[in-house]
Amino acid sequence: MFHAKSKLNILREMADIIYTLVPEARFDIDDKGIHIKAVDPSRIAMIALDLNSSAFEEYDADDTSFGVDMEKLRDVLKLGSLDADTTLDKDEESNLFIVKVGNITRKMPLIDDSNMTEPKVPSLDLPAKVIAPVVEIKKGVSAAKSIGDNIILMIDENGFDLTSKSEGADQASLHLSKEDLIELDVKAPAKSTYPLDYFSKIISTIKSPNVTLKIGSDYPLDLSFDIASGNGSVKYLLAPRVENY
Amino acid sequence: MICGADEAGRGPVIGPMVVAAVKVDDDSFLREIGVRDSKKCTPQRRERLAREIMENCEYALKVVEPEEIDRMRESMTMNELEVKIFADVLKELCTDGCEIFLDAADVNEERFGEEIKALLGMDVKVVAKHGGDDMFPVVSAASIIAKVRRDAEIEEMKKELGEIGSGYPSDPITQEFLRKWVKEHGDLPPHTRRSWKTAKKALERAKIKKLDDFF
Repeated sequence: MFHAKSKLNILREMADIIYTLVPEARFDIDDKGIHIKAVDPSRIAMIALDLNSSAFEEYDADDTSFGVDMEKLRDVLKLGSLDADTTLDKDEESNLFIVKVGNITRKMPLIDDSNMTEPKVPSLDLPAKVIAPVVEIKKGVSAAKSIGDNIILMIDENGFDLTSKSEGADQASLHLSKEDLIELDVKAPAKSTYPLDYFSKIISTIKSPNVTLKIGSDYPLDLSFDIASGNGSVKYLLAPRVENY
Repeated sequence: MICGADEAGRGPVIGPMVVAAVKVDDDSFLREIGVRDSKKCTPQRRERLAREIMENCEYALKVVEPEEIDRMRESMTMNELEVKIFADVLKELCTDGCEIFLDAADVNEERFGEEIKALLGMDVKVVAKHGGDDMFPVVSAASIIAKVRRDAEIEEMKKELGEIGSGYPSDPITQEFLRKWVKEHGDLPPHTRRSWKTAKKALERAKIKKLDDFF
């Protein structure tokens, strides 16, 4: 069985994050919390989200897993204010997932998750890491938006750079020096290019003040941040764009 | 005197665009040889028709190579480019008093005709119509020789590049050819219109890695 209750904003945050990647996701539930791992269909990005039981006012769960239609979930989560009491229930008898937002009750079928294999989220040993203020990264993304499809992330002893170049002379970059960063940890300098649309989508979901970015040259980006005011976390991996010569 | 002009290969991402014009006193010869059925006939018949037209009528042809298209596209739209090339070709044939017929395929009919007339700077009457290649035998004739010439260019290209398909962005053979070439050579093949979105995307896609490549 599964029953959880929290304020709407906690679940809205989680749903928005998962929906940036996939329209359906497998919820793996145990007494510690809700765990979601998903890979986008093109296999360019992957998410591992943990929403701890401590984020909830009520939480009662046996080990269970089921697939959820994220679009349906997001639609019902739009129907209340951020502090609305929201409950999630898995009804074993009817095989339904029941979401209550204030006085709205939405029942939806559980998605058979036998086809949804749990992706392995590998740990990468990446040589360069920063913890940066999200508001600055968001600014960098805004500056990059009209310039090109990719962004170049660079971390070295001088700090962090996010650059976007067009085919012409247009260019935009954000520079965060050591003083601007919460942490700068450079085992070796690194530089890598990533698709802007993926990066921008995940960054726009971040509510916490800081984001951790780890990169290696021509390696995936490991991006992580807290959710639910620290009662949860997200790890996001994004494949790089690499010159193919 | 009546002139007709048409193009072949405006849209492809590989290969040239060919603009042709044909001039006749009147179009009875063209009707006799059956130019109006050119779209439904076999490539062989089309080639035969092209030969007959070129042997019996005055004509002009311009082959616009992909590199030239790219260069011109830096400063003008595709429509402006077509207007200019049409005018260039018609200038070779037309004189004051000519009646010019055109197929206005993707563009505003009247504007297309007016712009070409303005560039010609001659005392001519220009009639541009959607479906002009079906309506006017002199346009059908121009369409035939443009298409046959373009097909010949593509055949030459195939000797150099292998199977490229039709060259149109929507052709899956062409898409696959581009993808493979970029992956193997690290750049677009020769005779590609680099300014085309399809070409740019093929380059972009080659840089795309998947997470599976790393684990």
